[in-house]
Amino acid sequence: MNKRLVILLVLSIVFLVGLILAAIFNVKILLFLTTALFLTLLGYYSLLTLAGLYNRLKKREIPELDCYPGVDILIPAHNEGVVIKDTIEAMTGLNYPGDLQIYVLNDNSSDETGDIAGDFAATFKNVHHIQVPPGEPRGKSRVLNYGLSISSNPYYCVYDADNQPDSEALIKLVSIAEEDQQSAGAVGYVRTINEKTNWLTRMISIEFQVFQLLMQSGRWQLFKTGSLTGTNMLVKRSVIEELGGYDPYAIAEDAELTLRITKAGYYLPIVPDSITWEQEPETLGVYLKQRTRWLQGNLYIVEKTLTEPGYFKGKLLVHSIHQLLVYVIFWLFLLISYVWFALGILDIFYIEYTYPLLFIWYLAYIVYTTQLFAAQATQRTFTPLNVFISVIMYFTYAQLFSYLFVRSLILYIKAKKNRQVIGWDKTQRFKSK
Amino acid sequence: MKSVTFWQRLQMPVAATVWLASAMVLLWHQTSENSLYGMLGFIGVAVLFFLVSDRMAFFAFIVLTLTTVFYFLYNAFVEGWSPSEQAAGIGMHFLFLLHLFALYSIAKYVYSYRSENTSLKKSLEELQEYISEHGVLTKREFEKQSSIVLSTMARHGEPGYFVQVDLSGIRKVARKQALIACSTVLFGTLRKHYDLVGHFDDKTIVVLLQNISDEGFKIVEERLKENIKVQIEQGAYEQINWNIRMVEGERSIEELLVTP
Repeated sequence: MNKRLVILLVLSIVFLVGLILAAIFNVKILLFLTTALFLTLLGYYSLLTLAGLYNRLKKREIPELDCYPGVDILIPAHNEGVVIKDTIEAMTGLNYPGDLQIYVLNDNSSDETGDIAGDFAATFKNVHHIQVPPGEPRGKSRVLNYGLSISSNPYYCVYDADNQPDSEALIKLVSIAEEDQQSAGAVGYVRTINEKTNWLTRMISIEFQVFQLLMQSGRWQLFKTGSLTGTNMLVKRSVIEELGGYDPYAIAEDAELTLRITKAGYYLPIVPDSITWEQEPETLGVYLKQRTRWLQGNLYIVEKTLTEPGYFKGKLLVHSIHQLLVYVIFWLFLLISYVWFALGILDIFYIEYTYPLLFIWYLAYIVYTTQLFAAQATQRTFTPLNVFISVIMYFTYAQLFSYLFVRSLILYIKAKKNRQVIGWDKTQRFKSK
Repeated sequence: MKSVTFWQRLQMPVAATVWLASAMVLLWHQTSENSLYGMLGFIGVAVLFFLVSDRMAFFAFIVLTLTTVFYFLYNAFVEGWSPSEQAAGIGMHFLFLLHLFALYSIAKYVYSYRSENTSLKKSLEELQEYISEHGVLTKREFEKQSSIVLSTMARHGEPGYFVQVDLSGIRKVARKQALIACSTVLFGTLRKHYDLVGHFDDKTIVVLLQNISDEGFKIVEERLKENIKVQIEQGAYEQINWNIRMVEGERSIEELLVTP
């Protein structure tokens, strides 16, 4: 196990021991601190909701440029035969007045991905089928680094292999990115193409509307900082070159790059009107696998944030605090509350308290559900079924987070202990109906 | 026309009933000295929701939801609510939210009917000159418009050309997108309000050029082919089959499609 991880684990254990000691010797102080912190967290998310809603209600004009710079579209693809045709069709349908080159980065596919990409490359001058040489570590970051090495336009835009952007998506990203010299690029919005398939896809879609749109817009409104979404994201080549390309070991390469971009002092403007449509997992098994990978990626970032210098300065503070709030503090609260609840039920542990904890729980539910409603209202996706799903999401979908977090943490620590590289795990695609 | 579902029929009456019933329960729970303020508050919120757009009404709904829930929490702290009082507070607040949501729903329906009416009127005006999203006509529209153009040409003895661009030789997987790309190029190159471009099937684009001489057509043909070559790979371009026919008094597409 490396030295940084040992420090991290020791710190976590010290923190937990501190909490237990505080609980034994002065429960009221512990309760006061956790209540204050939890209310601050809820206040912050309420503020983000209002700021995000305000930002979405404002009409933002997309400027028209005299000259549109060249853009390379990079599509990493590994066994994407089920979806790749629709994806390339959407890419060739993009309306972009400048030079546009589309690279399908075929990462050793064994299905018909190569044939389909080859057919398009033989038909369209600006479609290129690129065979990525095999190598380690496997994953999107390495493939993107290869894509950057064989392309040359001043901007590049990443789309996942199951994406179908609207025809105006790219032009909007470039127009906003060109507005400010300090912009590292621009970030669009990802919508769910298979939202209506089942309740799970509806929940994922609503979650995306909250976290990829409302919270992003809120952070942009309050702190002028955004984060990359992994797809439908435009970055200046000069910026990625300055940062030395993608970190090949980062599984959540988008979040990792966001931190480095913000650290370097660049902006990432949010363009909610630039929309791409993405396929989301239709079964619980696929969903759990995908989210475990994402959470492991975020744990890698938490580790970096805590063990490398410079992550708590300037605008980066917003991202670092967010990572720590969600993946450390919030989860610890959750764990403590579950243990407390279980011990209370079993009549083992009881605290005499004066705080209105029941109402605080209700407040948390209202803040969460309000976010879901607000996101849907801005996207005009309010339907009776979606309203019903929003009301039950706190008790169902949101509770999966605890299971996913524990699972990811165990796998992450295991991999670190065995000095294994956590590889890229492809999300299973479904044929569109 | 889309039929109205049972739920759509019920939406307004359900929202109105919930709004009225929740207002009555909430007012009934007010102390007598507060009931006037309560009633004025409900009326004020209702007026606000109906005055602004549906998006602003929603913003107001969210602001009211969050501020009231934090206000209730403040009271819970200050007055030291017991668990049963907290449960009662939750019930009251939830009822208030139900009331607000019902009000917002009614305001939204009214607003959406208003904007639907405006947009329907606008669409009706536009329908008469409907063309597809790429500016290219559908088969039915092309046949309809070309028969008018051909009759006029025949009456005035004007020269013209009918071009069929056959893309059946292009690889099947990329054909649909190639069809869209080529027809967009053709439409962009030709005279917007004069010549017609349409899709005949999923592999054929048809073009009707009116009032054009042989020399003029040669120049246009050259330009069309050059512009397509910019987008389409040489190998694929060679698979495109151009079938050009001079219009000599034909009055319909069927006549032009008959091989001379």
